[in-house]
Amino acid sequence: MGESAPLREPTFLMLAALGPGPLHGYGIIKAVAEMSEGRVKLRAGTLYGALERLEAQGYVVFDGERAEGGPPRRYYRLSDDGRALLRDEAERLAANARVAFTRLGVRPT
Amino acid sequence: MTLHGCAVRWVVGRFVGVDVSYRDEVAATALESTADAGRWDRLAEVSALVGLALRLRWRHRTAGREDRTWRQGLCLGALSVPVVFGVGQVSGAGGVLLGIAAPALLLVLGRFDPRLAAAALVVWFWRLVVGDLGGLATALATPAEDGRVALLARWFLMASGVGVAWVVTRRSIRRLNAI
Repeated sequence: MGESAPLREPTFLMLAALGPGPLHGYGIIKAVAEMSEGRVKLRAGTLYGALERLEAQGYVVFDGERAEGGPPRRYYRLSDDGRALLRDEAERLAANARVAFTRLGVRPT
Repeated sequence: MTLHGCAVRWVVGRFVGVDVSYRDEVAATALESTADAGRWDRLAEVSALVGLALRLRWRHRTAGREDRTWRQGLCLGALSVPVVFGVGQVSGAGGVLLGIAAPALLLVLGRFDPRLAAAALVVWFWRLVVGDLGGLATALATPAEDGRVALLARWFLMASGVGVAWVVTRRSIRRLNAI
């Protein structure tokens, strides 16, 4: 996959939503809204555009269709590369946050 | 089915390079996520789906490649020139609409399908070369001529349009390929 630029926040949150396991599109939208406390609101058009890119680059994999008490839904999961990308990005953000807190002379809340 | 539901179904029906279950999934997600939303949120959702439809079409036709995007966009622009300028000869609102607003719309939609921005570039470039370049030389040669400022401003706007279309095309290709 090679070196990647910092992820955009919606992309980062989408990957994080898939961290625990496969989800369908609406599940991802709900998880992202919950993680960001309603700050990031994904639209279906934006979500599937991002999923299409992530799938094309091998970070997200189509995990099949499943019907759980309703019409069949398409599930997506993180690939090993996607998991590694998310971990690397989380470490980069955490390192930046540590530096910022240090320079401000405050403890993280 | 509501008007919003019809609009969503119509837009996802325009998706290319995907199967029926993908269209159904996107429509279901769009309808679920806007179930309790207001009118403007629903309109924004449909707009985002139009963006996705354009993006899928671009990806399907070019595989996200820059060379194919430029080639197809320039061809589309070349085909659009006779239409835009044919109707552009007509005076009044129709002429203005197709001569200026149509390329501007192509530029906006070019954020999702960069071939459209490349097509706008051709249209404005053609307009610049055929319509304004000769006039520019005349205006520069006759400094006291009435309407010189207007002609220079018009030339500047057209040249800016070409530059902006080039930038939008390149940036859109990069953005649509980025994660």
